[in-house]
Amino acid sequence: MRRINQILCSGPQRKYSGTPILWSFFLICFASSITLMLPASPDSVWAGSPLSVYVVNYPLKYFAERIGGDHVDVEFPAPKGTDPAYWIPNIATIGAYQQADLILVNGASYAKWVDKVSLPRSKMVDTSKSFKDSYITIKEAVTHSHGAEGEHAHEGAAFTTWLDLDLAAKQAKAVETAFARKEPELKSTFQKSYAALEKDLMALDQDIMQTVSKNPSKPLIASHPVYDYFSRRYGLNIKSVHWEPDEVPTHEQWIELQGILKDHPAAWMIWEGEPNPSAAAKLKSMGINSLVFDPCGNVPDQGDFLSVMRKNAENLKAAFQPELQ
Amino acid sequence: MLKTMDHPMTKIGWVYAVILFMIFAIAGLPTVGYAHKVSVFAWVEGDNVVVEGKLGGGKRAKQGKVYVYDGQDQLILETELATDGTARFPLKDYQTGLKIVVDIGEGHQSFWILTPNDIESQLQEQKK
Repeated sequence: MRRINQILCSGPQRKYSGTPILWSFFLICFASSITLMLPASPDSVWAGSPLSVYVVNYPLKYFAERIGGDHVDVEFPAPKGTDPAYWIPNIATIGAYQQADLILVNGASYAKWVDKVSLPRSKMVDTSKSFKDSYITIKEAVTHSHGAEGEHAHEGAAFTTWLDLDLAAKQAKAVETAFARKEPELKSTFQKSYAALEKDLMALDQDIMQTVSKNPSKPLIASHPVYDYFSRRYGLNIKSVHWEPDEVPTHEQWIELQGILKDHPAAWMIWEGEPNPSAAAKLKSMGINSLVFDPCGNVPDQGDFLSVMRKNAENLKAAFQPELQ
Repeated sequence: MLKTMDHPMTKIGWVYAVILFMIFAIAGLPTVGYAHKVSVFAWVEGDNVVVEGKLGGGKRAKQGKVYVYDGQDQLILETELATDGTARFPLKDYQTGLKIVVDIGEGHQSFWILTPNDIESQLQEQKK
């Protein structure tokens, strides 16, 4: 009887003490199998080293960093203050471009040195390839000199493509596609980052559209022929001279401007940077105001690509205010 | 009498002159249009570097100065293009790479860059 009692009593006791362990084991196994079945977050799976990416201008650096985040290591070796469109890297730097995982080029004849070296085609990404058919061809090439890059001519295709923010978004899309092709497991991460960037660019695009729509035929003068895509996208009525912000225009340049003004009575001149005070004052005396719309080809002194473009858009508003027309 | 004889001759002369002018103008057009365009390409061939200078439209540059710089931008060699638009020089001192500039005059020049990696890979390719 005692024995039976022992068996009866010990049974449930054993059962009671063993059950939690067994259940816990099953629960862990179940939870693990469910976890394995669920689609993993790409960031949690990715354990590779960042992609080494070399770019030829600052807008592409900004796009690449926004899209790639910590998954890319973006290098833009052009020294500050130079115009990357005409800058030529030294041989060691070209060697570094050759060793990168990806080389992002602007296309549209930007950074002509790219055609004078052997860069691996498999690594090259022409970010403006998708809109090659809509490149703007410069009809009149004028050779001039400024900065450390020496003499150059604006000829062939106009290259400041990103000043049309819709084209900028297309270039960013090319960056996203290239990253996803290189790191397929991070595709959704890149897509999300691109979507956020596209939203920012297109919001600004609409803002500029709205500003210009108040008076699209308003004549403007550009101090340098770099606003072709900008002008086409937003329907601006721009004529260009070849002035540099940090230089005092020559007598011939003033004469040229006066000739343009006869048929194009502009009250505003758009500059790439803050104009020389004496040039700005003389323009003011002629009834021409100055505004800065920085193409941002190189790393800005302050802020980033988007903040510079926002500032540009704000500056542009002054030219379209009714009382100043 | 003389006047009537001269008249048709002058007319024919004018026609010839216009035709000749048009022929020369058309023939001269590509030269004018492409005159300032020069492209350079260089590669390793055996123990030499071969340089090729071309004008716009694919024509070979028949004359021009060739300047070879090392990776520190020091001029290490100066030679000239032959009439076939090429120049050759022995491959040496290429550890920092080579920048080859072709100047066809009047400020029209271009360049090609061979990095140490380019040269090494071309030498390896030749060994295969």
